[in-house]
Amino acid sequence: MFTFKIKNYSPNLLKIPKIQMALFLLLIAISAVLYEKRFLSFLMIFSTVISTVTFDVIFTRLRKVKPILPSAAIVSGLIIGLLLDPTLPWYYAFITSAIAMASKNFLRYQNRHIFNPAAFGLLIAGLLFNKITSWWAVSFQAFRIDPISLFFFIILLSPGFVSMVRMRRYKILLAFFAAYVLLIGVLQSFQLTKTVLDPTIIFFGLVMLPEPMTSPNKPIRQILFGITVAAIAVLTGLLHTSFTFDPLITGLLVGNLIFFKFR
Amino acid sequence: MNSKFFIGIVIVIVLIGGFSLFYKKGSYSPSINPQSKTESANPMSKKTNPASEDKNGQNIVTLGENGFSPVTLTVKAGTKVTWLNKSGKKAAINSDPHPIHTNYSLLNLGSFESEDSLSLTFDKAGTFGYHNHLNPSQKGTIYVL
Repeated sequence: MFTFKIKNYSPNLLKIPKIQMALFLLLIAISAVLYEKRFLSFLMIFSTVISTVTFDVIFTRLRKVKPILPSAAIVSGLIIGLLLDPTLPWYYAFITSAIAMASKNFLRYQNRHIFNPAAFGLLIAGLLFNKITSWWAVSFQAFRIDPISLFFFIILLSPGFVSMVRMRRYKILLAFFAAYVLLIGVLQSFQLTKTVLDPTIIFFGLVMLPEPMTSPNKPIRQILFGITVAAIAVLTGLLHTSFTFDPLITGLLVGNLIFFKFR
Repeated sequence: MNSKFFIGIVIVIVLIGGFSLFYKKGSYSPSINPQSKTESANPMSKKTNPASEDKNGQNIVTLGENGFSPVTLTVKAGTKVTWLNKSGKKAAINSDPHPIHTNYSLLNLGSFESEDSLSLTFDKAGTFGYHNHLNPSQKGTIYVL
């Protein structure tokens, strides 16, 4: 029932951008687990990946679509695992993954999903359980001039090879960073280094923001998308909403909603 | 037509954001007390000598394994608050909201190791939410009268 018949794909999986992204995210996950020195964290990541792949397969079958290599689900599962608090109960990962894959499979427009699946799952599950997104695995890689810190920081940057070089989504990232730095600069008296080198912002910009299925393809729209997400994120932070409305995730999902008809 | 619509939306959003920023900046903003700015800007000054802290243990927030204690602290304007890390691991004091920390930039004191401390003098009245960035479920609030 769950066998895959995959046609016309390169036998070299390592050349597929989504697989490359998954490998870099796995590298971040391993570095974070080593840093935390807590095996429980890896269990959370493992369970989110298994959950997203399982639900993606099930929902794809429900849509009567031929199954393909679930590389996107693996990436979504890794992102959820890196961002969810690893001390949460097992069912939290399960439900977050289910919501993420449901949005990927059923909230669609012209054969593409509207929302970044991981972001959607994290926000909705966060609202349901009143839990914030932790960003635990992408918070500690502060830029410092010592070998270990640089090592972790470079690992954090590694997904940029896929999003910026392979997928060429650098306009989105540059526009987001420029707008975000400008807006935050007004608030924080231009503490640029803290803003630009914030590991959470870097991960968000390199991995979640430029997701190709939910971000525009045309250059001017990519720039507008980046600016919009930055503005919504900062605005969400300013509005003192409940703690569960993560500003970055809210900005991304609102950006997805505004731009889904204009790719 | 579509591109103009978009550009219009983005301009509106940026204008709303800009208005909110300036409105908010007016509320918080300081004439920053040079002493507190120095304390937050100079990394060396962040690590206070325990002997200089309040002997009654007031104005001290302790971070343990389960979070901050006390969770809320009320102080008068001009009071220095000290955070002691007794959690056994590295922590980071940052302003709400997580993870962009934009509410009160002076409260972005950064990371500190276990047994270290960080301090900030609160010059203006208000409510200042913060959290441990490395474990954001650990939250606290300082009420400044």
